[in-house]
Order: sequence, then C-alpha cells, then structure tokens
Amino acid sequence: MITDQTIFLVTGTLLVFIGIASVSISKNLIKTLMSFQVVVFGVNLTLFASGLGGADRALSDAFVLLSILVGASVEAVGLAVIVAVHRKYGTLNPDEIRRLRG
Amino acid sequence: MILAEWLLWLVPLSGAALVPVVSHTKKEATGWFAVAVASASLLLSLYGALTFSAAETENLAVWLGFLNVQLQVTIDGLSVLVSVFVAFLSLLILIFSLGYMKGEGGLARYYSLVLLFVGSMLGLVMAGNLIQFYFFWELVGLCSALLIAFWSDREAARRAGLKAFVVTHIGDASLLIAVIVLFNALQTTSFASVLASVGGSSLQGTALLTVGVLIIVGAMGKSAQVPLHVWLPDAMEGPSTVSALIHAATMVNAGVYLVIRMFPLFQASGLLMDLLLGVGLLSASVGAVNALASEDLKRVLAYSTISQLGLMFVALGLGSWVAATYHMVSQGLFKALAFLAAGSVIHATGTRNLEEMGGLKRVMKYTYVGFLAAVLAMSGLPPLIGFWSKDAIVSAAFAGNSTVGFALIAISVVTASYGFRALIKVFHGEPAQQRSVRESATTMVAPIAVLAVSVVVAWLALDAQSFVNIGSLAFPSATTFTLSMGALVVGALVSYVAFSARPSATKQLMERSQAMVRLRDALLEGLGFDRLYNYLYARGVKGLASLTSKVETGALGWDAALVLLTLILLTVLVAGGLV
Amino acid sequence: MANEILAAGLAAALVLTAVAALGAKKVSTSLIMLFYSSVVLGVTFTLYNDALIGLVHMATFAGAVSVLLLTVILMTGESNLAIGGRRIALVLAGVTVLVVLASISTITSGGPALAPSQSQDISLQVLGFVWNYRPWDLLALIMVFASSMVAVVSLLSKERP
Repeated sequence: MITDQTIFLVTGTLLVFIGIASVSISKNLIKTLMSFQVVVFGVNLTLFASGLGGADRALSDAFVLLSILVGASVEAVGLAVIVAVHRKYGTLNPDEIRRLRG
Repeated sequence: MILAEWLLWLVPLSGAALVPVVSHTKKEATGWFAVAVASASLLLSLYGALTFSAAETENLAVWLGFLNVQLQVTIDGLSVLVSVFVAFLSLLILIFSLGYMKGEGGLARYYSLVLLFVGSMLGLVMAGNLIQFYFFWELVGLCSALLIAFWSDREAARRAGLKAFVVTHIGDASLLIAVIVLFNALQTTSFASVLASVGGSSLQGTALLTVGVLIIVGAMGKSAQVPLHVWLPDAMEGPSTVSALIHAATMVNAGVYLVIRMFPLFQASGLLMDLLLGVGLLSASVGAVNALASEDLKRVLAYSTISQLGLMFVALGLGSWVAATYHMVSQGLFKALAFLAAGSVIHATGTRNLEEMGGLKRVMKYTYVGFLAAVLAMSGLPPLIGFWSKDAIVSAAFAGNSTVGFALIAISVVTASYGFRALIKVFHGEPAQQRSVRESATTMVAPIAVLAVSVVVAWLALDAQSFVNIGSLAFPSATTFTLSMGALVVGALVSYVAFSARPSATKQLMERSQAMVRLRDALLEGLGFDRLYNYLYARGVKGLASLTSKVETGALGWDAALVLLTLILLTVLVAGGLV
Repeated sequence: MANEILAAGLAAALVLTAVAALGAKKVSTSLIMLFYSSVVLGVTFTLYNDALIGLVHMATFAGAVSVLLLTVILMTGESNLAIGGRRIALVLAGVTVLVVLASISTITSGGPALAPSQSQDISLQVLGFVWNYRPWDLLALIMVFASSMVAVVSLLSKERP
C-alpha cells in the first residue's frame, strides 16, 4: 500500500544516497558542501515522514527541528573551513589537499 | 558516620583544587598550604587508627546505581595502617619539597598534582569496592605520569612520563577486564561480597583463575614487576620528591595492596600462588643485578624498588600476607629515606652520576646518616625495620621450600652489595668534583632525620597490638637469622673490598675482562627489555598501521565513498530482513 | 488519491532540483537549484499541516544557508563547479536502482523488524533518562549553535589566537 508516507520515506532515503554519492565524487569543496545539504534535506524529509499517518507528530517535529539546527550549524562551520582551506592551500579541489594520510 | 576516614582522603582532593587559588593570591604560601593539608590528613588518619575498634565497611550514597556501586570506605586494620603510613610519608616529603623545589617554576602545578595524588592514594586505600578502587587507581597513574614529566621542557622527561602512562595502562586494562568479569559473575563489586563468594558456585575453577591472573597482571603494571617494569627506571626523570613519594613508597605499593586486599581469592588456587612467587622471584633478581651495575644514583634506587617489590610478591606467593604488609611499610620507609637523601645529594652536587660524587660524608653529615640508615635497613640489620620484614619473608620461604629460601638469601647478598656500593661511591673516598658542596637546608634535612629515626624505631610501633591489628612479627628462626646476617656481611664485604679498599683493581677487572664488559653493557641496558618492546612495536603496531594506511588515503572522496558503500550494504541487509 | 499524487509530485520536484543542483557545471545554476529544492521541501512541510518547521526550514536553508553559500562563493571566487564526467551518471543510476529496490522490498514485506526490545537494558535506560530531562535539549542546542558560531568566527578571522 503506497501512501504519501511511504513516498516521502523513499524519496528521503534516495536523497541521502544521492547526496553521499555526490560528496564522494565531487571535485570541488563547495560542491561537497552542497551535496551535504542535500543529505540533510533527505534526513529531514525522512524524519518528518516518520511522523505522518497518525504516529507521534510531536516527537518527529522535535527531531526535525534538531536536525535543521545541527545541519545548518555544520554547514556554517564547513563554509568557514572552506574559506580557511582556500586561504591556506589556494585550491578547493579535495584531491589536491591530502594532508590527512593515515 | 565515621568522619575521620571519609575526610582523610577528601581533604587532600579538595586541597588540590584550592592550590591554584592560593598560588594566585600569594605565591610563597603554596608550599606551606600543601604542608598544612597533608598534616590535616595525617592527623585524621592517626585519629582513625587510634579509635579503630572493629572492621567495617561504611556506605555513603549510591554512586552508580545500575552497577550496584556505592561510595564506600573499608575500615580495617590493613587500610588504617596503610593510610597512616601514606599520610606520614606525604607530609614529610611535602616538607622536603619546600626546600628542594624552591625557585622552580610551575610550583602550583606541582603542589596541586602532589595533593591530588595523596588524596587519590588515600582514597584507593580506603576504597570499599573495586569500581571506586579502580577510579583512584587510574587517578594515581595519571598524577604519576604528569609528575614524572614535570620538567616538561626536557624531552627525556616527557618521554618517561608517557612511557610510565602507557606501560602501567597495560596493567590497568587487565585490571578493568578483571573487574568486568567479576561483575558479570557476581553482580557486585564490593570487596566484602567478592571475597565472601570465593570458592562458591560463581567464582571457582577457570573463572577464579582468569580473574586472579588478570588482577596479578594489573598489580604487575603498577608495582613495576618484570616484564612491566620498564617504566620505573626511566621515571627517575622526575623530581626526587616525586620519586620518593610515588615511585618508592606509595603508588608502586598499590599493586601489592590490591593483591593483599583480595588475598583470599588468591589463596584459593595453588596456581595463582605459584604465579605470584615466580613473578616476585624474577623481579627481585632482575632488579637486584641491575641495581648493582647502574651508574646513576636514582636508577640504582629504582631497580632496588623493583627488587623489593618482588620480595613482597614472593611473600604473597608463600602465603604470608602479614610479612608482605610489613615489608610494604618498611620498604616504603627506608626507600623514601634513600630517595630523599639522594635528592639532597643531587641538589647539592648537581649531578646524578655515581662516578662524579665521592667523599661527601665530611660535608653532608645528616644526609650521610640518613642514607646509611636506609642502606642498613635495606640490608636487614636488626633492630631496624627492614630486618623484621625481610626475615619474616625468608623464614616463610624456608618453612615451605628451601630452594626459594636460598634464592632469597642470594638476592639479599646482592641487595647488601649494591646498597653499600652506592653508599661508598657517594659518601666515602676522595671527592671527585671541584665544586664546593654544602649540607642542604633545614627543610630538607629535617624529614631525612625524622625518617632515619623512624626506620630505627618503627618496629616498636608496628609490633604493638594496640596500634595495628594485623598480626605480629615474630623473631625469625635460627637458620634464617644466621643466613641473613651472613648475607649482609658478605654483601657489605664484597662492596667494601671492591670499591673502598681496592677500587683501582676493580676498575681494571671491569675494563679488561671481556665477560665483565659484556655483562656490564647488558645490565646497563636493562637486560634488553626496552629493546624487546621496541621490536614488538616496530613489527606489530607499524605493520597494522601500514595495513590501515591503504584504506586511509586522505582523499575526501574515498572516505565518503566508503560511507556510501557501508550505507548501501546496511540498507540492503535491513530491508532484506537479514539483520 | 489526490494526496498521493500531490506527494509524488512534490517528491519528484525535490529530487529533480537536487540532482540538477549537484550535476550542474555552473555555480549559479547550482545555487539556484539548491535554493529551489529548499523551497520545495519547505512547501512540503507546510502543506502537511506543519507550518512551524516549514517556516524554520525555509528561513534557515532558503534564507541563511543560501546567503552564506553565496558569500563564500563570492569570497573564494570559484565559478566553475565541475564534477567528474560520466562517472556521476553511472554512480547515481546504480545507487538509485539499489535504493528503489530496497525500499520496494521493504514496503512489500511489511517493514523491517525494528521493534525495540522489551528488556530494560542499560542503553535504553540512559537514553530514557536523557530524553526525559528536557532542559538538556535546550542546553545541547545552545551549545551546538554557540560552538559553531565560535568556530566560524575564529576560522574566518585572520588572527591566530
């Protein structure tokens, strides 16, 4: 039975996967951050959709708010890191900045 | 509520937090504040000892409900005795620090760490359950590592501190596993309940053996037994007061204290007793021979500590925990005395090398008397305190197994020998340096004097049943007495002949004979334990690191792709109902 | 029925704009598409009777974050957000197929067995305690926000602390 809840759950999951795939193949850190934002969208949609259809709406609302807040904060910090990286290395290509070799 | 036993460890802990405040307001008062806190602690522990009537465990509050852990203190003869001993030594060493650390930078850090250490050690001694014990066990390890690296601008000190931390942590991990296994089996960690269920259905056979071995490994780490002893000689990079307090008298006794506290658990299995005996004998011999060869005064004392702790383990392996407890107290007293005297010498001459000292007995009289008393106590001259405890151990050995007894006599010969060697090289003979040397300040000499007196008279206090309710020390049997006196005389004679009467002939022997040169190099290297650890690290850890560096490429895309892969895998598994 | 069509339409718009944002070559296209997708998601939240989080979502993403992105793009002067050529199409196609398959199998089989166990084990107790203690939420939120603001300011300033 395909309800709107299942549609949203599926698209949310799909967005998460698309986002992570894009993070791994992007050649520019800003594109990486945008992909991360798509992941956050997917997570928010999934969380919201879990609360539809008679389930605990208040709980899912709280989770979505928390997720929005954390996602926005991480993006802000990520943008600051991008600016600092650009200042230090001059490039935004993650393949050229491999200082964290294990 | 029995206030004294709670306050005696809470007071130094809060004192540690207040030291930076005191140091900020008035810098010179920091040391005196620490001395005041330590004396308060000593008075409280003495009061607790004098009003001690019966053994009990007192609970204060629930600490970790789901682990069935409460804040408890155990008050029995053992904890009362050791707490008085620890508080007494801490006070004396803090008074010594007033003079020794005068003019050093970072004194607030020093005093607060020392007070934190004293509070944790007292908390460890008074702890009523294993979780509380482990908490303070880790704290003393931390304070020890930080104090070893006190002069943090020296690279050797930093490395030594890290080394102490890592090696003792091998033991700590083992002890933690033991606590987990015990909790799993018994659902409780308090000492009273654990000891009551030894031999019962949930704690016997392999479970008992596992727990016992893990606890012994934990004790080996803290008490510097072979092969986890490599941190103690390097720990001498710290100030001599730290060596005296932590690495001679208190923290290294924590391992022995744990085994004594859990002794019924070990008595229940012959294998565990044999393990204790073996570990102790090995460490006693390794420590003694290494001490004989060392050129650094503090390293001699460090290896000597390893050896004496080995003797305590031997005592435990033979079943006489009373002798082990008394040896713990006596070793603490005379070793702290030796370290304080060594600190005074090092402070005055500016060097730690035995070859650069000599003839100090004319100039530093009080220090000389102190060191002499320590060496005599260590070699076992009656009626100094070392005699009673050491001969109790040797008597127990002869009562059980003569081979162990003769091994202990051989170790006593070497002990006397290295003790007198250090004494002769530092204080007798011709002065080897041109610098003018004076006796140290009163704040440094007074604790040495007090400890020297206590080393001579302490057997009176320990024997009086009104003070300590453990057991009494009988006069050793005739065989033991003659053999150990003989060992003392032989060891002293060997050192006298080699270093005082014919020093040049000894030097020639050491340099000519190939065997002696090789033996000496091996001993100076610590018998290769450090090399063994380095080899294990190079092969094991570095091999694993090269394996993981193939996965950790440092490229952002790769890491994200790994995340994606894992997520896909998990989704498929969960959706397919396989997980 | 109308509900499902609406839901499907909104979901399709969201996915399309997101993919367009990630696959674009020019930065202006990318930014505008991302902005559109935030708007679509906010509209979705609002249409499902949750004006609060719809509003918060749009204010945060379509407002603050988009402006921040614009600022950073202008600061660093990036104008070409190229991505790898055909690889993206292959990867995305593969991922999509897998996810759709997994989701369909989940839905038709009645959902994953994720019922929480009844035993009061320790993690549940801890979680219950933390969750019921409401002031912690507020504190956690404030801490996350404040630390991220501090990090942003310190990373963007040129002085070393």
